[in-house]
Order: sequence, then structure tokens, then C-alpha cells
Amino acid sequence: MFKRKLFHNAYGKTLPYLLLIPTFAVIILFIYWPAVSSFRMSLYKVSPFGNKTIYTGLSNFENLFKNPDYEKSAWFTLFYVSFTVIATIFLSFILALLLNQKVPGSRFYRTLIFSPYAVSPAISGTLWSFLLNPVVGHVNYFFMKAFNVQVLWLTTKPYALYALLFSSIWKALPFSIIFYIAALQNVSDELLESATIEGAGTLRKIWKIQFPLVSPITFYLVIMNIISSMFQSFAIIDVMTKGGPGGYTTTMMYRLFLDAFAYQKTGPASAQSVVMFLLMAGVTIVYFLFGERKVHYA
Amino acid sequence: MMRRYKKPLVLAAEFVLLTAISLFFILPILWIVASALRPSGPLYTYANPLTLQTFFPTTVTFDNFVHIFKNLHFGRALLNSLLVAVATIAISVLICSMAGFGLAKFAFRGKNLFFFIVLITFMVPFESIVIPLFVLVKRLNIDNTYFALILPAAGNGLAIFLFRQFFSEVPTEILEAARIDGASWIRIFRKIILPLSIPAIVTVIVMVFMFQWNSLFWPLIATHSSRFEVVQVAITAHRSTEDTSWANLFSSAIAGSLPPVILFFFLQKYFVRGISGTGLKG
Repeated sequence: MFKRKLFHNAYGKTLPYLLLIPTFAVIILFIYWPAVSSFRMSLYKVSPFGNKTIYTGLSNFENLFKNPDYEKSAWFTLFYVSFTVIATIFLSFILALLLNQKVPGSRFYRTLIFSPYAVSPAISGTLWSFLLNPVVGHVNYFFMKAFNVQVLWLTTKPYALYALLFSSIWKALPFSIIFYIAALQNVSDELLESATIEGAGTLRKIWKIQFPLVSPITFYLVIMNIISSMFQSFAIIDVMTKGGPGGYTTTMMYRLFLDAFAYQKTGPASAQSVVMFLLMAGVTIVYFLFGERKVHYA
Repeated sequence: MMRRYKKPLVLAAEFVLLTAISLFFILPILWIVASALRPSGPLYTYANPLTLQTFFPTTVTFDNFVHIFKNLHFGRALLNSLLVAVATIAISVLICSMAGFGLAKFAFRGKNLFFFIVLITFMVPFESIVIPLFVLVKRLNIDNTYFALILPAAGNGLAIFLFRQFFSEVPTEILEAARIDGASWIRIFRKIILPLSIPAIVTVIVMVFMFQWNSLFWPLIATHSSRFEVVQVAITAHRSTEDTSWANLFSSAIAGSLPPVILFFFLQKYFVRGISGTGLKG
């Protein structure tokens, strides 16, 4: 551990605050203000017609936790997020190791692999829902030829889940690969070569040298991937499965969206925002505490 | 240093593996490109069987692109998105770097609280604040304007976080020396901090650009006139339940993905360096 050197108040008490004012004005006005009013709405019941609001205390939360559908979407979210994040981290690290090899043309391969990053989530959802189409989709054509089965990817259990996981990971990988390649390039060749001389095998070098040395990037990527699979997967789900079949692929985020916009249930939707927020805050705080330590001793 | 050359067999195996992996990523995209370059018509004609023609059209035509630009004003959407992205980038690079500097280099009362306020913004799901945000934007009388698209995205917690991490790595001694030589804070910020932070700035530029370029949900809510239609709204408008125009959809998807590709191609080097230089390195 080291202590960072900082300017103390000798340089004027107001300067740091002046630096913070513009951003904080924007953040408070456009993020905190709406967030607080959304939180406040979680304690009210809004009548479906007109603007009548009645204070109901915590009953929105009670109803939420008693709702078996909400519990189901919570479990689904847990599975979807952990699977997507773990698979993305694992695969992107392996692919980055491969792309980091001194193979002629690896720059070219890198460019190809990055390409899904340029496609927006809505478009990649559209793309995959077409490719996975049971009648005309190319993926199904392949499955027909290879295994003689026709799979209803987007409308049956559990295939809708596989389809969603697959396209989410396909979209998420390039971002993580870019970061891992950058991190791996910082690992010194001398270190790896001296390990080779001392007789360490490839796997041992990866696991004992390269993986620990890029752990700060792993830390960053885990957070980024949790955030994106929690929030941004919304577009992919909306385009591909609409949360179906029968609510099977409805994440907490997608349910929040449905309640807020499709069913106009402001109170319950606001209660869900509060739950989502607390959940994310928990994840981030735990990871920061754990991650900070990990990063320093890596 | 001893350098070991790879055995040809290992090299060949790596090539095969890399090719297979790249195909996995590029084929779906190649398919969109091929579909956009085909004469418009039922897309299903080309769907099965899976042949080389699925990915390389036999007759190449740019009619679909001409159509979306000439008749559907896709150019307007591109310009709108470009304007929104550039304006957001300009504002957020300026104000977020200021805040990051303040949080990285000064000791002051409430500093941890301020940093915590920044971190919290990562955790607020946008969908959960979107209704009150719209009410606010309406009350400020900026709904259905460019301001509605730009301002809410200008204060970016992640950008502040990145700048803070990056600025922390700049030795305070350099800044102290400049102070002693009589340089003003604005001068120090412009002449020392910013030039040293090009990778961080580029990272934020790419991040904010991608965020604004991909945004679909908020523009749908905050604007309704076609004057302010942005790229993703224009693209997904071709997708409707009864009558999806695949030719329009795919050609606009390709045209709409080019700016990020170009930006990324030129900034890739800095972008990657920006992340590995954020104090997150091992």
C-alpha cells in the first residue's frame, strides 16, 4: 500500500469545489433528481386513470416480494448475469491469449474479432433473431443438416435462454478481448522467458503469471460486464424473445420496463427500481472492497 | 535473449483456430453486409441453403443505400447522431476531466462523499429514472430538442472515474513545481495534465460516442419530430411486426455502423493504452 501525495488546502479552499460544480450540477439534476423522485414514487399507489396518488408505505415492496413471478425473474437474472459474465471473462481471456501470440496476421484477426463491437445491441438482437429463425435461419439450416433437428430457438424452453446467452456473449466478447490484449501486452516478455527457463509449462505460466498480472483488468471487466448484462441486455431481450416464452426469459430489468411502460404500473415499477439500485450498489461496494485488496496484492 | 521459434505444426494449429474464431465473429456481420448489397426483395429467397452466396452476393447493388439516403433521409439521422455525439463529447470531456482532476489531486472536506456520489451513478438503471427524467425535461422546456438528447448524458460517472484514475498517476511534484514557477491552475491543467492524458481522453471520447450512437430508448421518448431522429431510431423504424423492410433495415444498419468502425479504427491504439494506463494496471 502506498499513500498518494495530494494538494492540501494551501492551494485555496474553493478550487476543488469549483472543479466539481459543473459535473455535479449535471449529475444531480439529470440523474439524482429523477432517481429520488422515482424512489419516492415507490411509496405511492398511482390510480390507473388520472393523477391521483395515494401514500401506501411499503406495500409496493411487500407485493413485489410476494409475487412469485418477480422471484422467478430474480433467479433468472442471477443465472443470466453470472453465466454471461463468467463465460465472457473466461472466453475473452483465452481468446486474448491466442490473439496475443506472435502469429503473422494477428492484427488482421484482431480487427475481425472486434467487429461486433461496432454493431448496436438492437441490431445484433435483430441479426440473431433472424439467424436463429426456425424456418429460414442459417443456424437452423446447419442444425438440420448436421443433427437433423429443428430447434425453435426463440420460443421454447430452454432454447430461448441458450439463444439469449449466446448472442449476449457474442456481443460482449470483443470489448473484453480488447482490454485483455492491452493488459497482456504489458506483461513483460523477460518474466515469461525466465519462467520458461525454469521449466514452467504453458498452462502454469498462464495461471501463475499472466492471469494474476492482468487481475486489475479482470476486476474492471467484471464490473463493466455485470453492469452491461444487468442493464443493456434489455435491447437484446426486447428484440429477440420479449421476455418469453411465458415470462421465462424476463430479467428484472425487462420486467421493470414492462411494468413501467407497457402496463403503466408506476408504483410497482418504482419499487423495482429501488430493488435494482440496492442490488447494484451491493455488488459494486462488495466488489470495490474485495477488488481493491486483490489489486494491490496482485 | 534466447528466442524460441514455433514449430510449424503449432503455427498451423493456431492459424486454424484463429480463423475459426474470427469466422464466428465476422460471418453474421458479413451476412448483414451481403444482405444490404443484394437487390431488395424477399430476404428469405437467399436464406437456404447455406452456401457461399449467403455471404457473398452474386449481384451487387448499392440501390438500397441510395434509397435510404435519397428517399428516407437517413443522412439527416446520421448528422443528428453525429451532432449529438460530438456535443456530448465536448461537454463531458471538459467537465468530467475537471471533476476527475479535483478528485485525484486535492485533499478537501467531503471528498470521499463526492467520489461516492460519482460511483453511485453507475448503479442507477436508466430505465428506472426515465419517466421522472422525461417529466423534468418537459418542465425545463427542452423536450424535443437537441438539448434533451445531449445534456442528460453529459455528466458521465464512468468518465469521471477514468479521469480520476488516470490523473492520480501524474506525479504531484510536477504540478507543484509548475505552481512554484507561477503557472495558473488553468495553465497547469491545459499544458501539463491534458497533454499527459490523451489516452484517457480518447477512451472517454470512444465511450461517450458509443453510448450516444447506440442510444435508442431515450431518443424515442425525449423527441418525437423527425427533425431530431437519431440513427438507431431510424434503423429500428424499419423493423415493424407486419412489414419489415429487411433491405432498408440492413443497409441502414451497415451505414449506421460505419462511423463507430472508422472512429475505432483510428483511435484503437490510444483507446487500449488509455485503459491500461488508468492506474488499473498490474
